[in-house]
Amino acid sequence: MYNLIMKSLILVLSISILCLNLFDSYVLASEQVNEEDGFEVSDEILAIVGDIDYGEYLSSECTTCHHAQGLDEGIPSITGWPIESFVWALHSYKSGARNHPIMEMITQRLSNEEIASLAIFFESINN
Amino acid sequence: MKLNRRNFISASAGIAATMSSPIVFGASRPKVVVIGGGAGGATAARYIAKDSKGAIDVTLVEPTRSYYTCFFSNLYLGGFRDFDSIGHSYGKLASDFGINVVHDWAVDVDSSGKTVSLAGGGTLNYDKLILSPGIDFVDNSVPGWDLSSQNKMPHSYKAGSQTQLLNAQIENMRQGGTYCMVAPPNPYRCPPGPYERVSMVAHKLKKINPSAKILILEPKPKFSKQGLFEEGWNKHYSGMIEMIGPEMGGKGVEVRPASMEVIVDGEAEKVDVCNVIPAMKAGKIAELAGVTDGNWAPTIAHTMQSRKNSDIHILGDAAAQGDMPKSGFSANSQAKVCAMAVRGELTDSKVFPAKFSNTCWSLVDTNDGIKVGASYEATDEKIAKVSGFVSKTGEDASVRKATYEESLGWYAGITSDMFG
Repeated sequence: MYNLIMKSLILVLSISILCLNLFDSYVLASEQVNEEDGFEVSDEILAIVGDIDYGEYLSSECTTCHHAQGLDEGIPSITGWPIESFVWALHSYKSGARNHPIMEMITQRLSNEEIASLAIFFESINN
Repeated sequence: MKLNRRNFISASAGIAATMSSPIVFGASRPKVVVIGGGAGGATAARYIAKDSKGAIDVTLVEPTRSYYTCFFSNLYLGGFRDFDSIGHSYGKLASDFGINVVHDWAVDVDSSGKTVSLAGGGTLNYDKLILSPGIDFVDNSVPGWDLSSQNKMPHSYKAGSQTQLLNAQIENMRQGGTYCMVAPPNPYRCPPGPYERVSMVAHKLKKINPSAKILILEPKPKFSKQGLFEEGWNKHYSGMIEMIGPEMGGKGVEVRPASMEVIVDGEAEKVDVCNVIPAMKAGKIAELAGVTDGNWAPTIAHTMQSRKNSDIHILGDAAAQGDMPKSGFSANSQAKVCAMAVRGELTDSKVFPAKFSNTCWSLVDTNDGIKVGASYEATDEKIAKVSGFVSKTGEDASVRKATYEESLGWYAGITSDMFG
C-alpha cells in the first residue's frame, strides 16, 4: 500500500520534473513529498473528489500567506500542484507527521473533503 | 409582434412595475459601498468584485491614493524596509477588478436612505455598506496630547507621514538621548506592534546612537508576546530599554509637548523623542453610521454584519467581534467571510460556514522573528478562538530566521490579496 502510493507519487513527480521543471512549485512539491518517509495517506482519502467551488472559497484562507500568483519568497508556492501531492502534504501536517505551527493549526480543522476541495482548486491554478 | 389587447395589458403592467421598482434594468446592479481601503476594505471590495464577476457594483471609498500599510511600518523604522516598499496603489482594483475607487472622505451615512456623503460633496447609494475605517484616537486619553501635538509627539500608528516623521526624529535624536513610548491601553490595533516598534527603534539606535535610552511607559500589566520580546531585548539590546509598568506610574501618564516632558507618577521627565500611542476607538464614520456601542462596533460573527443594522457590515479594527486581535491579518480574514455573506444576500451565491484565522509576526532583531497565531470560528455570541500557537523562548536561530522569512512571504501574499 505505502510502496504503491510512493511509487505512484514518485512516478507522477518524476514526470512532472522531467516535463515541467520550469515550474518551481513542482520541484518544491517533490522535495516536500520526499521529506517524511513513512507517512501515508489511505486510498479512501486519495479517492475523495473535491468540490472546486468550495475549494475556491476555502483557498482564501491560504492566500493571505501563500501568494496567489505563485511567488515563493519565504512561504512556498502552492499553486499548480498535482492533487495527490497536495492532499499528501496537507494530511502530513494534519496528522503531525510534518511540523509547522500554522500549517498544523489550519489543517487540523480541515475535513478530508475540504482538503480534497483545496487540492482540486489549487491544481487548477497555473501561473 | 403585433399588439393586441392582451399583450398590450401585460406590457403596460411591465412598465408600471418598472416605474415602481428601481431594480429592473441592467443598470441597477446591486450596489456595495466599502469605506476604508486597508486590509479589511480592500480585501472585501476585491473579493466581492472578483467573485461576483460583474454582478455587483462595487465602490471603494479611500482618501489616500497611496496606501501605506501599518504592518511592516516598524520594519521601515528599523531600516529593514524602504518606505516605498510598504506603499500600494489602488490601480489594479480599478483596472483589473472593475472597482469604482473614489479617493474621498466619507463624512456621513444616512442608514435609512442608504446613502454615504463624501467630503467632496458627492453622494453614493448602497444596498450594502461595508465599514472598514480602522481606528481613531480617544480624546484626552493621554492628558496634554491631541492631534495638534502629533507633529511634536507623533503616534505613528496610522502609517504614512507620521511614520516618516517618527523615523526622522529618531535618526536626528541627540547622542545619548531618550526615545519614550507611551504605550496604549487595551484593546488596540496590532497587540505586538508597540513592542516590535521598540525592538526596531533599539536596532536602529544601537547602530547610530548606542548610548541612547528607550523608555516605555506601560499602562497594561502584561502584553502580547511579552516573554519573547523581553528575552530578545536582553539578548540584543541589553541595558538600553527601561519599562515603567502600571503599578509604578506607567498608567495615567500626562505629556507636555511644548517642553517635551512626560509626567510619570507626578514627576516630570524630559525626553528627546516621544511616541504617544493613545487609547483607540473605531474610525469616526462607524459612530456617524450609528453602529457603535461605546468605542467599537458590535458585529455578528457569521456574516460580520452590524448588530445594529443588517445592511451594514463592519471589518477589522473597528469591529467588536470577540476573540480576534485587531490586526491586518484578522481584517483580511473577516473580509472574506463578509464578502461571501454579502454576495450570498445580493446574488444568491453559495454561502459556506465562516472560518477565521490570524497570525502576527514580529521582528526583534536581524533574522530574529517571532509569531503568535490562532484559528477561530463563528458562534452566535462572537468570533471564538479554536486553537492557537506562539513562538517559544530559547528557540534555535534557524527557526527564528525562518519565521522572519515567513513574514516576508506573508507580506507579499496579503498585499497581493488586498490590492490584486
